Formats: sequence, structure tokens, C-alpha cells
Amino acid sequence: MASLLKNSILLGQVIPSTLKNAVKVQVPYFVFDDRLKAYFKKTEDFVAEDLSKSCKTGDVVVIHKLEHKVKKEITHSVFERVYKFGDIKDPISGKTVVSNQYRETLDEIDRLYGATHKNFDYESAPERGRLEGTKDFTDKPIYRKWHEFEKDDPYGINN
Amino acid sequence: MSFMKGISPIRRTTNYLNASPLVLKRRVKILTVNFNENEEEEHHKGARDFVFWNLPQVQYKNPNVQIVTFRNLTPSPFITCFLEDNSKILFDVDSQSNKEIMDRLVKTVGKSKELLEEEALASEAKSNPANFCRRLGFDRHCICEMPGQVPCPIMVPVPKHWRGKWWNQGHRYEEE
Repeated sequence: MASLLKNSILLGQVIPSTLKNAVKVQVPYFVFDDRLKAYFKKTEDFVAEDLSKSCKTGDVVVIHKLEHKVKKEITHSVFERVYKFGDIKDPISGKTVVSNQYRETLDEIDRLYGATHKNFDYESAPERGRLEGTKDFTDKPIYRKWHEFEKDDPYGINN
Repeated sequence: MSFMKGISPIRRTTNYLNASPLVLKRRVKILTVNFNENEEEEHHKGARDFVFWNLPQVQYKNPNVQIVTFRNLTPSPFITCFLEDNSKILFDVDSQSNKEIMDRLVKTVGKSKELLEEEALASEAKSNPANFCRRLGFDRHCICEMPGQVPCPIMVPVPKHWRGKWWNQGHRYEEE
């Protein structure tokens, strides 16, 4: 495997997992193919302990390698959350952003078109994660189900 | 160039990959490029060109740096370097050409030309062709393969009286 993965700091995205006290982080890296002389992307999953317990699926985090492992599987610890999933802040201006527009600009456009109230008021809305388990099923991994039990697990999908 | 298929296959030649002046300083561990793919966003063109033309060069010269690209996340393009001591360096590359971006990176986080030349000299001194051991990368595996030297004991047994085992076991005192 790439010697890059032995680095003391790595950047990755949090992926859904059933772990209670830790997060699974997927780290992308490039591997050089000697014959084609090109780089191909590969990913490696690491289990990192999340001390602040604020990292959700989809966040981009920086993880540090642990010097002393308490548990054999938990090799890293989350150091910093670079981008929060859904509420990305442009580091240059500090404003919340949606792809290539600022949220301010979108609100301004709505107002100029004569909107009486905002589509979704981000400032007054509660933190994301409120609907986990009821409407949002991205926190745990999804699987295909092959039998109908009495208690229906929303993380199992038909077809 | 042989087997050169794809867009701009010159990017896939060793000469091109080695031609980058950017060798990152040892404390830079992660390099992140944020840009947008939409052709109409002209201020991202420099960042897009940097990723297309120069990123493979940078990764080739720095195999232990994690390089990550983020597409269509923010309205402005930027490059972030994460250092060993947990700090970040942010480069705002809005409306800069890929050459300007490259020069800027070399000036701030790249090793200087003199340092690179010194390192090149030091690495040449290490690979002394007079050494043996193919496993460590030298050309010859043992002195036994050189003409005029004692042949390999696998092929031709060494005379008994040259062997330390024979000498120390007292055979030298035996009468023939």
C-alpha cells in the first residue's frame, strides 16, 4: 500500500458506519501505474476516534495518527473538520456557500423576484442531524433486505 | 512516445513528470485544490489548468504528499496546504494562470533550487557503483561474479585449507 498512508496527518471524508464512539473516514490517494505513467485514485478506510462527537456522514475531516492505541481498530483521531456536509463555508470570505453561489446571493435573488418569505431559513433552523433515523438514513450503511420482518429496519432496502 | 492514447498524452511521459520545479517542503503533508469544472467560470480556468497539467507532476515529485481535489464546492478557487504542525496555508488562486499558481507555490512552499541541487549531489554520492548487493539496488550481487576473483562456492568448492571451519577444527595439524 502507499507509503503516504503512514503519514501522521491525512484528509478524508466521513462515511456511514455503525460504530458508536468512532467514525469511519475514507481517505483518497493516488497510485502511480508504472507502465501507463498515470495516476489512478484509490481509497483507504480508517477508523478514527471523534472526541467532540460532532462529525457526521459526509464531513471532510483531517485525522491524526494515534501514538498509543487504546483499541486495536481505532488507529487515528479526528483533529479538525474542514468542511461540514451541507453547510460549507468558503474559507476566503467566511460565508456559507452552495456550490458556486453564496447563500446571500441566492436570498438576494429571491428577494428581488419578490419572495415574501424565505424558502428555508437556515439561520433559525435547528442543526442538521435532527431527522437521523426518521427521514435521514445516511448515518448508517445501507443493505439489501431479502425478508420482511415484523419490525421494519429503514436501513434495509428492497431491490 | 509510445502507447500514447488519451487527451494530451504528453502528461504521461517521465520527462514531463520530472520537469516540475515544485518539490514541497517536508512539513507539507496534504495539498488540496478546490475548483469548479464549469467552462463558463473563467476565474477558475487557472486552477483547472493547474489540476490538468501540473498536478501529476507535483504528485510525481512528492509521492508522500496526499493530493486531493474538490470540485464545485465553492464559488472561488483556492489551494490549501496542511502542514505537519497542524497549521494551514491558504492560497487564493482566483483568476491566476496555472504558471502563476506554480511559481507562487514554488516560492512559498517549495524547496529552493539550491537546496534541490544539494540534495541531487548528496543522492549521487550515496549510489556508489563500486558496492555490491542487488537487493539494495546495486548492479552486482557478489564479487564472485567478477572475472579473476574466487568463483562462487555454489559452483566450485573452495579449497579445504582456505576454510575457517577446517582451520579451526584442527585439521591443519593432521598428518596427511
